[in-house]
Amino acid sequence: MPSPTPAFDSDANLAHLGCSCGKHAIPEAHNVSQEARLDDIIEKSVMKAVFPNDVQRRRFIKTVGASAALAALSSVLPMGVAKSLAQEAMGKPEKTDLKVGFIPITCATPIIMAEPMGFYKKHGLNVEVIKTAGWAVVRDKAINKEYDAAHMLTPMPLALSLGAGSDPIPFRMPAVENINGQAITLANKHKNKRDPKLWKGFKFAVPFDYSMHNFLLRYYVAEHGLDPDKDIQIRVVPPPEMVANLRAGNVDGYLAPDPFNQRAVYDGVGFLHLLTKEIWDGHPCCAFAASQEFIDTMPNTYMALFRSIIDATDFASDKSNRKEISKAVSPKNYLNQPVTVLEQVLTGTYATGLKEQPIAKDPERIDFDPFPYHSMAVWILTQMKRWGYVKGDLDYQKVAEDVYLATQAAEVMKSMGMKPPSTTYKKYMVMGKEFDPATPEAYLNSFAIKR
Amino acid sequence: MPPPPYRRSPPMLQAPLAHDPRLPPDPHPASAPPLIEVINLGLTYPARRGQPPFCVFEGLSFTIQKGKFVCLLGHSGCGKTSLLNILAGLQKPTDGAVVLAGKEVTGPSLDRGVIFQHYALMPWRSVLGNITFAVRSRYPQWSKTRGREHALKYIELVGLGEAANKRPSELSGGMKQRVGIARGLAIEPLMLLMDEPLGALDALTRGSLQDELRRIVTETQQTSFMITHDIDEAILLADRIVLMSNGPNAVIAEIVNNPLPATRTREGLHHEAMYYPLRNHLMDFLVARSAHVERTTIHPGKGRVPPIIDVQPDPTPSP
Amino acid sequence: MEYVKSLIVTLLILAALLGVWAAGTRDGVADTSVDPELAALLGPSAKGESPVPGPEDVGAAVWGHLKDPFYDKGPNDKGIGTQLFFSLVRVLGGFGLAVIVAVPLGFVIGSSPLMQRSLEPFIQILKPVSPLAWMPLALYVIKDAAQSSIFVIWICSVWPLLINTAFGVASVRPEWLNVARCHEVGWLRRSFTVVLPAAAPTILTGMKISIGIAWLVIVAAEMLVGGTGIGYFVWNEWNNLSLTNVIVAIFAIGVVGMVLDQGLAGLTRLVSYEE
Repeated sequence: MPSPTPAFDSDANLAHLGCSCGKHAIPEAHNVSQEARLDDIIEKSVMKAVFPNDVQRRRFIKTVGASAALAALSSVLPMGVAKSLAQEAMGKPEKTDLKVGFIPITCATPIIMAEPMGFYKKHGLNVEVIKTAGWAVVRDKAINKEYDAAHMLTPMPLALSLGAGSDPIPFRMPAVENINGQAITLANKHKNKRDPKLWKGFKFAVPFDYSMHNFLLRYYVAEHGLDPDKDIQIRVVPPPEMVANLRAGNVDGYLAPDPFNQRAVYDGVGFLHLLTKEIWDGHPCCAFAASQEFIDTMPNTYMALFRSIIDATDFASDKSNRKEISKAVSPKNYLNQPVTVLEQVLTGTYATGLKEQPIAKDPERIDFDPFPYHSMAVWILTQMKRWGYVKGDLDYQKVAEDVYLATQAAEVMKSMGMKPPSTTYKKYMVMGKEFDPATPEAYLNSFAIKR
Repeated sequence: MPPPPYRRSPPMLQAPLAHDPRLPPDPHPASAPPLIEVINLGLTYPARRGQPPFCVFEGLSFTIQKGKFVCLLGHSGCGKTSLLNILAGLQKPTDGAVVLAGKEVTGPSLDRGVIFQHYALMPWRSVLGNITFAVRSRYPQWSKTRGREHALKYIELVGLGEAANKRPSELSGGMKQRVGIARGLAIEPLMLLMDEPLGALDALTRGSLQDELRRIVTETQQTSFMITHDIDEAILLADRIVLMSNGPNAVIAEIVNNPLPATRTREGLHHEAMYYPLRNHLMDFLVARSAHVERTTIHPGKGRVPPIIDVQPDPTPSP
Repeated sequence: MEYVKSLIVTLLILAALLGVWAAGTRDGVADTSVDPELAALLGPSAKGESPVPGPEDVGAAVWGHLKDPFYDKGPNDKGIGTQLFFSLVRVLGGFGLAVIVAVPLGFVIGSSPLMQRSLEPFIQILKPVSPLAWMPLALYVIKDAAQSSIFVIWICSVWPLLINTAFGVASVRPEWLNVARCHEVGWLRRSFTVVLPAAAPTILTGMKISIGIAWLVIVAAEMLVGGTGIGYFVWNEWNNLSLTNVIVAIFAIGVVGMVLDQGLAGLTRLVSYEE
């Protein structure tokens, strides 16, 4: 199938990009060789089993020749069956035509680019990525099974599984998409109000209730002594409407996903007040999620999808690929944004909209790391409880481990030759304050402003 | 739709009526029973909202012989239209019965063709379409061509051959009522019922349509019952004129035989010897007597049997 | 002559509107002092250009869309013609279903005062509900976005149709019904040869109102749900803050709406009668 984007030729580009294991020039070679290697291993193991003695075996092979020896063995042993059994364990997808929903923001980059750059195809899947108008619709379409899997915000699978904001439906989050990569954008008229203490009465927009954006903004203003429910107004606005609302003066600012922060600068409407990495360096944002039902009924399809996502996320994390990715996801079919805007977000060389430092360079502005730490879920849960989105007792670890499939992610990453972290819990520094996932209640109680 | 089940009127209603010496002399005794018998017909609206019951008319009894033209003359509000609707089967009486050709009338049927005062043509159909609607109802087994030919015959009869494909909105009032008449006749009914069919027309048109109607009913020998408040119209068209007293509690005051010869025409009407005596009699009724009709002779069960009047020539001829 | 005069006036108004538009969107003087490195990172409107496109921009965009209205560059990027087609299919689907339900039901309501009185409260409560308010419920119950938008079209088309059909049937002149009774016309034949033609102009007026509402609603519904359709097109271009394409879409929506309206107006003329 030819690539649908004229701006980017998947095959041609991948040829020099190489494959995930790095040993092959093109991914196809990687696939072929993996299969061949598997066959090879099986054959060798059978040989080994028949001739346990090394010397004996070598002599035998030398005398009759390797292929003749194998042929002789095949006549007594069902070698073909053994090989196909081994292939089966890798898993043939139950279904190859999939629909994956996404919201057109740069956080979704791995999910989106996996289509034009051929990562889904590489793992034997034919995925259509479907642009969706808002998080509520993504959620509903994922619940309705119109989407097999979807791009979600990291708090959403937690909220869905807990039944916050909808009926409880077990959703699983096998992988994080991006870390960092959000920002607080303010309208140009507020250039002299850089101190959050001056923000009393401001109206802010966030993309969704159950979003890192909401929780980080609340955290940020609360740390500066403002009560996010009393001193400022926070409203949910779909990302594409944010720039228009900022221009119209309906909101004073927003903590939003890119490209809409950069877009405000690009259109001369606002400036970047703060990158979210300044609040919590390495915070998760968006995620790849699927329902427990999909995972149970189509385990092989799910695994292939999972691998494609890990593969793409890993590829996106390499900063040298970012310009290429910007081009791949910019057409109308995907993000529908000027390449310049996407490049600024993804490469971290960007216009700030400020006079004193018009151009900033921060290669860590956005990063991609698929590993879904359980500690991230625990932090999110503490904030959900802090602001009253969930009530009552909460078994943080259990929910985190049920929903964030860190162990599985580690296995898949390992099998793909990556090095997953050895632990699924770690401590974070959020605005200079330490978060210990072992003591979530104590952390929650340490906040002065909470519900 | 199956014909309404035959039901004889209760014997009590029939027997005394048949032998009552005051009954009008029957021109076709025994061999020809009347085509339509109206027996002790009454219409009373029940009491509501504190108002007492309202009696429109009571004890109406009369008959019509086959081939005769009967006009009903009376002031507005005496229930003429209600009576016609009851004859048509569109309305139910609260008392008494109507028997048509030996069967009690229980609802509307193709036995009776109705011509409405305001034509009631379907404006989305052409003249021909309005007539074929009726013809197809009467003769559903007929082919399209046969129905069309039949309809065209009646359109020709009322002189609208040129306008067969026009819509009613393109026709004048008189032409519209011609269509109404053609529709009434096209179903070849036992009885033609007309509710002031010419009442909405200007005098000239009304005159020409009266001629037309006279010609047609003479040609077709169509039994007809017509409501009017135009004395000359009644004199021209009717064989008998039924006079109704003023409402409420209206009754039939008398039935007047038309003494004018069958050859009468509208232009020559006032030259007929009996024209003025008849006209004066009718006028006298409408102007003076209709409000003071004696009501004592209503017999329970058989109604008021009205006297049949033969108008006498004037002792002194009119100037 | 009157026609020519009105055409001239129309053209003059158009010219004036275009003139005001062009003048109002004239680009400001570009700030040449901006550092070229920074300038590369900023969009045209940050450099002094008007954020609202002028008529010439929109004209060029219209021409671009007209040249290739049915292209297909993946599930999220299809030509404006294709998107209009998707929307039309949905509108006609929902509208067709509404006709199938509302016309017979309106017949029943219009010919029975009892039904009219008993259904009145339901109709009065459900009618003023904004069609889009049904969307979350529809998505939840129907579990399919395309069917949900058809449902939303259905539910907004059904009321004017129902009310107009019932009104049309109830106000069929009693004398026509009497004519039917006098001719012993059965229920079915009466419905089709008397009541339906008599009520047809009113019913078609209801259809005209319905399809107008449906066309308004589909755009909003598709903006909400996304996927395909002209509403999604608007949303996708808004997403890119491309006002030019949004204006193009506004024109396209207007033209299609006018065609739908005129089509039904033509049908209404066909069945209307003069008394």
